[in-house]
Amino acid sequence: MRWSRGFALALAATLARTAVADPEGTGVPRGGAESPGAEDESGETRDEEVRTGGDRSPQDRAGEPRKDPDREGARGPQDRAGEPREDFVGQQVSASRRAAAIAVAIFPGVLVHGAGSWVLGRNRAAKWLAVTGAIGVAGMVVGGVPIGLSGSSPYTIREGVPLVVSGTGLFLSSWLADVWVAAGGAELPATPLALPPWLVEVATTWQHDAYRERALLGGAGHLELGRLGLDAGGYVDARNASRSGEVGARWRLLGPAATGRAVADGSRVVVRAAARLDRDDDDQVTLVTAEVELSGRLDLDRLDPEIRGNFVELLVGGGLTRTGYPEGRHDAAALLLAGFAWGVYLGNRGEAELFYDHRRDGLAGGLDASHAAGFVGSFGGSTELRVTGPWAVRGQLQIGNAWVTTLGIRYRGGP
Amino acid sequence: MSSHKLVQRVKRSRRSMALSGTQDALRGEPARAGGFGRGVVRGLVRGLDRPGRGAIAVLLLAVLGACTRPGESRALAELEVGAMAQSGVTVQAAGGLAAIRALGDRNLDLWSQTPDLGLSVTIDDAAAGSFTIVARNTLGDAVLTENGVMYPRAPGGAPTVATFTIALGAGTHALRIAPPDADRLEPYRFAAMADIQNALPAVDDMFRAISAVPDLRFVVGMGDITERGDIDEYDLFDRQLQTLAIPFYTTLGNHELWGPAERFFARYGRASFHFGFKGAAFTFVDSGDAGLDPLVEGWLAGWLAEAKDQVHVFLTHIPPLDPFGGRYGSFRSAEDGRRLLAQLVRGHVDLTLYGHIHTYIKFENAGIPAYISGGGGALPMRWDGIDRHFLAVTIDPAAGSIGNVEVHRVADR
Repeated sequence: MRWSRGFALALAATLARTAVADPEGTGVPRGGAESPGAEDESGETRDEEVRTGGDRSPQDRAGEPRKDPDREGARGPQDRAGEPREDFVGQQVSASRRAAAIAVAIFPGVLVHGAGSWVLGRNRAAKWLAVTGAIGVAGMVVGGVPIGLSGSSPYTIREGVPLVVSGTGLFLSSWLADVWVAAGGAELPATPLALPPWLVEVATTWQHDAYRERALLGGAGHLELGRLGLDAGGYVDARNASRSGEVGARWRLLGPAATGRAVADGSRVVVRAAARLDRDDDDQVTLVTAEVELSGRLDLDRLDPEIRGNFVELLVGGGLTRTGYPEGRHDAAALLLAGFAWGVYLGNRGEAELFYDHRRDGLAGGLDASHAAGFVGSFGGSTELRVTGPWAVRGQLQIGNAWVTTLGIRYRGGP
Repeated sequence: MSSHKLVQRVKRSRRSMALSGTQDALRGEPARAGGFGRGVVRGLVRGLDRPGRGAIAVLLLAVLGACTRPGESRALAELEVGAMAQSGVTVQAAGGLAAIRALGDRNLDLWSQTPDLGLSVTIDDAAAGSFTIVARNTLGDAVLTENGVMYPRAPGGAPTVATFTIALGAGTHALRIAPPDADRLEPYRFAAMADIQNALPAVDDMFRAISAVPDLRFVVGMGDITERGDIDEYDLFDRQLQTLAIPFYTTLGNHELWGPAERFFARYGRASFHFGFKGAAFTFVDSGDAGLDPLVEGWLAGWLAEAKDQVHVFLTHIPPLDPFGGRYGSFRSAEDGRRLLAQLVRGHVDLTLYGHIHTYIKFENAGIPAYISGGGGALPMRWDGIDRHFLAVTIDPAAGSIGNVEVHRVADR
């Protein structure tokens, strides 16, 4: 109970601190010590410090014995309030202990979250991971049991499915985070990047499913105007038989401003509304979709500094689709959006994540899940990596009813 | 440098990088510059023994090789249903619309999937003689005819089991098992139900209730007759069907796929099939894995074209689109579901019947009247005001329309 209350308080404090510490949304926390990557008075980003991880990097203490946070009173999330903190990175770990930690993190760590961290002696991290996993299980139970007992009554779906998906997300993320810590991932440089002020992308997508092989060419653009973000995108297939276009607007409730620069904390909460038009000449189907979603990202080092370099994302939302068929027929259907992701920061060059998307109306559709056929969405992995200057590449593989592979080139605009 | 040498050099280089990164990770040291992430991955891999790495490799290969056509082998297996050759006798059911359960010494035992069954029987000289044909799951007034000659069924027995004795000489015979009014266009009624599953022990209640409704000619099932596709369940379903006075034509559901689909095919025939009766067309397709295999979609295109001018009922287990969108009790790809509905619109389908969702819902998909009737007794949906039930549908082939669709409730035992 104490852990649960502590976790909830930490989450609330995290979000509140993000807002309070960064009231202007600049990405620069307020307080004594500046975070790595923060702008100095001249407005220049201290890239060198960011690259080495600043006070978040193990390199800056290279050669010094690292302190065990439990033994030496390392501070938790409160350290992020802006005050200087001890280097929390763990002590040297022997190869055998590392291997044991990885093995334990995988099993029984898949059930007992935090086991890998515990083997490394990072008990505080282990506790937080266990609490996060337990909260995930609680979400699955609280959301899933009413659905199961009610035979999927509509009265239980809208609240239950987001809880189940979010709970699953927390459960899996805390497990993956434990494996990450056990494998030494938390000791690698990790610097979140804020969204750029503007961005354009061209991408090619390959869709492989039971019915067809389809090559798509797409483009997208984002423009950030303070807390408001506008985006537009679309794709067309090689035969011009399938086209899709989307416009969206989002409001950054919490999180760093879109400077494109390194920030101390990538946590954010965003609400987004979008409208999309899809037309498939082969299928003779036209879709008009309107949707609203609330999404958030939490850097897990907010829970404990030892769990750094990785994050969890949750998304919920809903929408409505009007479908036009041949002979002037049409119908309408509601849409429930839910999803989660767990990801890692790739130094200061980008990030990579594994994700689950509950929706079935995209190119990937839902996974053939045997006994749960029809109830499961798609899984995937994606990465965005800055290659040189403002140029970045984005790759994504999404597996559901179809395999959808995307490779794109991005230009991240801004200073 | 040849391309082969170049590839080898790159491989050696990668191997070398991998080893050094692993050692870094195991020492707990940060990865070297330019080697971000490798230490973690290699640490993970190094943490496993060779069998562990092998298991991961197998898992990755399984994922990479995961088929986007889970129903393909099932669809191909269906093509074997409805034909058998043995002891000098070859039997082929028209459209594959019968499961040949036994073919022995001048003895044919089959399960019909249509009220109007055509059989092609080819007999060699040695096998010619008097044949006994046991046609299960037939209408109570069905008779056997060959070249206009009618062979009445043997008296007695269950109403859905017809036994005929016919002398068959060497050569090919075109037999038909159908009621005398099979070609007459006039209104009739049929029942529809789905999702029996764990209520199998009590489904005889429903079968008796259906049998008590006058004028119903047959029952159409939208799948999930078992919970796990076990042989014991199929045996029990066979026994329960003895309490039903009219035939039961059904596709399979996702729960039949918990066991091998061949168990279903061997007993009840194809999961994707099409028949006509008294000027109306009925098309069943296998959506047990929440989608249609392209083979099935191809068959469907043919059936839709064939019955374009007939009143047409389409049945499948999982609705292409869940009328309550957030539940996703529907095809795993909404794109595939909508493509199917567009196909049904073009094929002028008049009625769609689904199961899978354990309730009763009347709605329209793509403007086509649709019913979900998952009231066979499996874990019922709560707070929907209805439990076990079946539909009684009136169809008027002459007018080309669907008439009343009545909902009949069956009290819980």
